[in-house]
Amino acid sequence: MLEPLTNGITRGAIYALIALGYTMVYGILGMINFAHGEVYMIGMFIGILTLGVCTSLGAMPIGIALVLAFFVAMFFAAAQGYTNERIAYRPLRHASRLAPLISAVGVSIFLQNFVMNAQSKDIVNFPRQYSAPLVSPAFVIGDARVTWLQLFIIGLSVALMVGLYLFVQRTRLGKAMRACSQDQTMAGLTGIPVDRVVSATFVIGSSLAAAAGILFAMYNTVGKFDAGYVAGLRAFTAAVLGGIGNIPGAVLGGFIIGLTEDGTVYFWGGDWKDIAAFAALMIILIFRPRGLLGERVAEKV
Amino acid sequence: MSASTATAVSRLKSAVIWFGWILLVAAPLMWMRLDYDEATRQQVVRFNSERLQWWLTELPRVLLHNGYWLLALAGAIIGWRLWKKFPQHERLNQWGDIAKRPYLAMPVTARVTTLWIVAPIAVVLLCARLGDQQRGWGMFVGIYILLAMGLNLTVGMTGLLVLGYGAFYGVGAYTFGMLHQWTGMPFWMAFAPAAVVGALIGLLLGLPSIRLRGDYLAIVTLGFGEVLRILLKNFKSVTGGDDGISIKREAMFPKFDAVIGFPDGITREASGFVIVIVLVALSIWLVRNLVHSRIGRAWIAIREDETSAAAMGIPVYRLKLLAFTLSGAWAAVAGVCFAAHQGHIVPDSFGFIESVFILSMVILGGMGTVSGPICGAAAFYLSYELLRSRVPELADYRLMVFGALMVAMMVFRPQGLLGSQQRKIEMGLAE
Repeated sequence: MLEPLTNGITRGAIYALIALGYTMVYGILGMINFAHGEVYMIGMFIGILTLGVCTSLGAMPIGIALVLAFFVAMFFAAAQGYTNERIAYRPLRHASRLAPLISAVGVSIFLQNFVMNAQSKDIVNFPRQYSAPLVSPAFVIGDARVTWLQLFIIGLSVALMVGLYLFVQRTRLGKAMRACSQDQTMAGLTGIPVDRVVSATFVIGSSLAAAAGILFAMYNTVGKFDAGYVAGLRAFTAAVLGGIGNIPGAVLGGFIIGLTEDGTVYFWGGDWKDIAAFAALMIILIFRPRGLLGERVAEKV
Repeated sequence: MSASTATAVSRLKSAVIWFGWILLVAAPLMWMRLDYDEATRQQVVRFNSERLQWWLTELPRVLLHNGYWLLALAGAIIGWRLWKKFPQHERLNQWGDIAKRPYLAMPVTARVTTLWIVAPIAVVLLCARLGDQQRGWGMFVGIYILLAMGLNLTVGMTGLLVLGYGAFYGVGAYTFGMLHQWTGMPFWMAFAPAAVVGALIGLLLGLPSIRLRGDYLAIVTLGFGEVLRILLKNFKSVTGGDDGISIKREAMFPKFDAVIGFPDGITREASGFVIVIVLVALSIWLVRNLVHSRIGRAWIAIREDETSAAAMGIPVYRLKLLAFTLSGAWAAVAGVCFAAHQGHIVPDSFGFIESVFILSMVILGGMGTVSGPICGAAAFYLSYELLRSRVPELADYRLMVFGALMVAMMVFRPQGLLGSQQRKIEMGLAE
């Protein structure tokens, strides 16, 4: 009984990290960054490649290699997120709602096929020797074995989330982000560089997604070029579930989706796990369109 | 240096900087490759030499070899630009005086009659001239035209973004497949039940639209499409799961050995082509009338401003549901044609990528027009197929090109190839 709980929390922590990127962008621009899942997948690939470089270079402590992988992947994913925003979203900032969404779908297809062509059509393995020391069980509750890897994933995710929360609440840039999400025009009039704040949002969200990508590859032991589509949808579901644009909501939603998924696998079997997340999304949206923690906003003409 | 040269230089400069930046961002994925080292039994990274070599030597060769495509495209764009440069009245003069053109000078009823006589003859002649492969392409163009027109009712006319349209296509194919499995029903009897089932499922999907707007609705439709596909996969006893459903030969598009006037017989492709063209003609007629009716106008009003439309007394939800219902029926009819041609259907034919294809056809041609989706479907499908058969080396790169094309269309020409100026202004300035 406890096993789906611990697995679900681990998975949920990863979804929550991706969901933060969706929710931050939606909070500021009011658009669904459909290509966010692809940034997560790129982070995953670059992390695995960096670890491969570490292996090729020879003896290196595992800890240092992992830290290096996280930094390199987060850097390149952030650069990718920034590029996406500049090329595909910024020219459409003042267009109708449909235009940026379609453009984002285009970016997503492009990146997915780019990685497929440049890297591999098949699954790529996460190098075992970097996750092997963590796979041993840390402790046992009931019938559930909690591994060090799970603790590492949950710990790192929670640390990043707390870091993000403090960043948004305490720093100048975080304040500027909150201002932009309330009213972009007014924020611009008070001297906040709106364009730069938007770019910063994409950079931060993308680096969180890259971290999630490596964590997921460690947990799942493999990665594939289409991993971003599924994970992106789940994470988006999580963001909507918690109330999109709301940072604590995204975290809550991520954990709920993770638990739903592993619960479904445990009780009904793996064939149904994809349905569970979508069914949850549809039910929540029909009965509570603004999500669990989202507030009701009046529609303006 | 004049002002225009200065702008050109600065644009060139920024283009070069962007190109360099993109190369930098893509560098690790382009230059590195994972490899398994047998000696140390470890996964290591190597220089991605094969692919880089392919991109640097083979890719330019393939592009040059098929350069006439690019030249034709460039010619078309330049021609269009020049055409646009002429003022409106001069362009009309080029067409000549309307009174001197026999077809346009006829009264409308006579024109319609002529069309009804000429069009079937033209279709039969065209069909006779083509080879079986081209007939197959023509049939698929027709199927995609049906799909694009159906999707256009929601996305283009009513402004409801549906990202799971492929599922409706699958609903049609599977309704036919399952009815066939139970009763041995041939394809022509399946059109009506499939359209009804498609319409009902469209209605079901439309129900959440009462509470959701814009992006949320798009995601719900996407999720709906995925759920439907997974259900088709999981209910193995009814749908055959991943193995799909096979349709017996006699229930597919008919094939005749020898008929009077056709000594070589009529192939499955030929009959399918004609049937699909008839359906397309029917659907053009229906959609044209629908769009120019009260309903069509009300849809456009909803697309432009839902709140104002409701304030004007338009029954917004009922019309949205109608758009969903009709759009579902259209896709289901196309699905029956697909199943009747393929003879075998599997759930994965109706996934997200299919939905994206149909959506890009609508966008490419021009949302919210009647002719736009038709041209979009023809251009998109034919370029896709020709790219596959003529330039097989680039098969893996097709989706990349279409992804980039979707972004480029949104940035440079949001109204589509045939879209109206009105639609462009809406896409650019709405909200």
